[in-house]
Amino acid sequence: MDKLRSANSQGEKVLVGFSGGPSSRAMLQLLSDYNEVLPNERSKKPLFSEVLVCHIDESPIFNLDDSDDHDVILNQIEQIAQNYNYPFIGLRIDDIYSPDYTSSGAYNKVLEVTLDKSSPQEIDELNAKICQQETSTKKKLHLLLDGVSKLTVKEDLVWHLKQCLLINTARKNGCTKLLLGDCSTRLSIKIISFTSKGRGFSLPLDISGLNPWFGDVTILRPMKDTLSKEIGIYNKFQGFETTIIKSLTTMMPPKASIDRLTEEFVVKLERDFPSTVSTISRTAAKLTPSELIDSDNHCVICLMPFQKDNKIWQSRITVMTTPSSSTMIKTQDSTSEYSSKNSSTCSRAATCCSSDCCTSKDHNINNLTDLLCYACRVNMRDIKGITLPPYVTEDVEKRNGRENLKKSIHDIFIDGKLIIGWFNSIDLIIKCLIADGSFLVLPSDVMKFIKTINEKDKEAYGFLVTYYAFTERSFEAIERHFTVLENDIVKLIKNIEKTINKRNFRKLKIEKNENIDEYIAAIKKRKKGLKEAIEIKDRKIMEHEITIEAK
Amino acid sequence: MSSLIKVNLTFSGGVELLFNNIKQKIIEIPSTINPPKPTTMKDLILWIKDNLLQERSELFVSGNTVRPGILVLINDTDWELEGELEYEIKDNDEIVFISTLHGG
Repeated sequence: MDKLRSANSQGEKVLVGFSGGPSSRAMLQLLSDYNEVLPNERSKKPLFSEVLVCHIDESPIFNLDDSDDHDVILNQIEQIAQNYNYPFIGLRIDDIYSPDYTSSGAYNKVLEVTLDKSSPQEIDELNAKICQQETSTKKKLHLLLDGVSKLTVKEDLVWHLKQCLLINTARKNGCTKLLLGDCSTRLSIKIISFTSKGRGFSLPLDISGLNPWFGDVTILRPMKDTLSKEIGIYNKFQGFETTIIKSLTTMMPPKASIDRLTEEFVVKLERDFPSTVSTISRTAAKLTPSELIDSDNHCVICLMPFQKDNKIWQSRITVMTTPSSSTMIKTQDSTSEYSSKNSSTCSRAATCCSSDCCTSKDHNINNLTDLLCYACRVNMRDIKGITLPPYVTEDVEKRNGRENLKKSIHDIFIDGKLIIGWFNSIDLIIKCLIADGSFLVLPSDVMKFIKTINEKDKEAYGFLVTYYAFTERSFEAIERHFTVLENDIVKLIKNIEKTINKRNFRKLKIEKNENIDEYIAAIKKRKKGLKEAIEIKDRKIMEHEITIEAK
Repeated sequence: MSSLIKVNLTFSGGVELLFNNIKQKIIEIPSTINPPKPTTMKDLILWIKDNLLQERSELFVSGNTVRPGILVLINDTDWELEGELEYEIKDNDEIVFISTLHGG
């Protein structure tokens, strides 16, 4: 029964996702059996050096009044973990809204998404804006779930939040493995439902016993070859009392959601044809992740990879406006002036809303749909207006930043010898340094470069920043080593500054909101642009304050 | 005439939600619900449905048997080995219903 051996890990720290249900209960027992080293086996090393048990409390989803009852369940779950002497981490599902679960660890903006029905495009556009909300995490979660009408979408969202919580918790605690208790029955249900929801592209990862997608945290599913029935019997004979965790579909009829319906389908088939489950899961296990999978194309909500340009594909295969419905709209338009009035007020409201956003440092995100996978985009069609947690917002902002950086570098490209580009933060400079013309720059190259700068103080060596050098790979490389390099970069910049000062460069400042394009045009007009140097003085001048040489 | 037999029922894994959170119950049922045949599992399930089930009977029974996904053990043996619905219930039998799915 124990398939934990599949991992060739030695002395690693693992996080166990423990829901309290039968499958994870059995998994915990098997794990402890397997990991145990008896006193007479001194040469044997435990497979995992440390086991952490993490439970995510889903009760905030429901407005539970009988909190006493609920505390009992939580205590039971904690007690189980303590029986094994494993450290217990208790989380609540709404914790996803706290800034601790973003990659920077301090980001608390949420992404407000509303559906834009006004655009006549085939795919509904999403209006999204980043803003700060001061409500409690629990309220934010309710805002998210109340904004969704379909149960299927709710279930999906809850699962994405849970997965993100687990992965981040594993990262924070330095765990390299995350164990999930998906049993074979559950997996075959997932296979069918994920396929029907349009998650085929990431399916091989979602169901594999070993999912390396998240890089530093590998997801293992040790129970993947065990039937839920076997687990039930195992638990019965071990005398385990499993706790009952209410989920969204508990006590719901079979047609409540896609997941629930698939469950019904698979389980019914399994009764008449006993090998259904293993047939499904074994067939799907033969799937391998597509070669097109690329870490840059991941969905900001579910974190799973998606196929590039899937939006185009979606618009090709989807018929959103049928002829009959469009005529209906026309008649509606002609009959009611009210609606047009209404829409004009709407648009006015929208503009003043957006100006409000500018003043309050909220940003509107236009290309959210490009950052979603097909399944999540389909889900988004069902929303009325939701607030997505900070981890999504952070990712969206990061990705947009990347796009903008690429664009701005392209715009400002002047073949000169000094740093050229539009920098608004120190890490962008690093990225520019990294991309000094070669396609893949390793952090060691940057170090070397910085050293040469330091030695030859007389002259600040310039480098050409080319648009094409900004491969995503170099971004990734530098991001990983950012903290190591920061000081060196500051030093480097000071050196450049010194040199520039020696040469009596005239300084020219750009105000924060000045249009960068006009500025560049102005430089180009002067025709002396080739030797212009744009330079950042220090961290404080990140707000686009740029010094320029003009002879 | 039919005499009463004792049956020890256990509900777990979520099935107890359908029975007012009662996990264990000792019931007494006639040894022949449908004379002249002795009481079988089929009769017992229908009896439970009519007498014990609090809500949503479709989550416990489907047709004349239990819903798929609910594991039935008769004296710690899978009921599939005991003849499922045709099993004749004896005095002091222990019958366990475990839901193996979260959905119900």
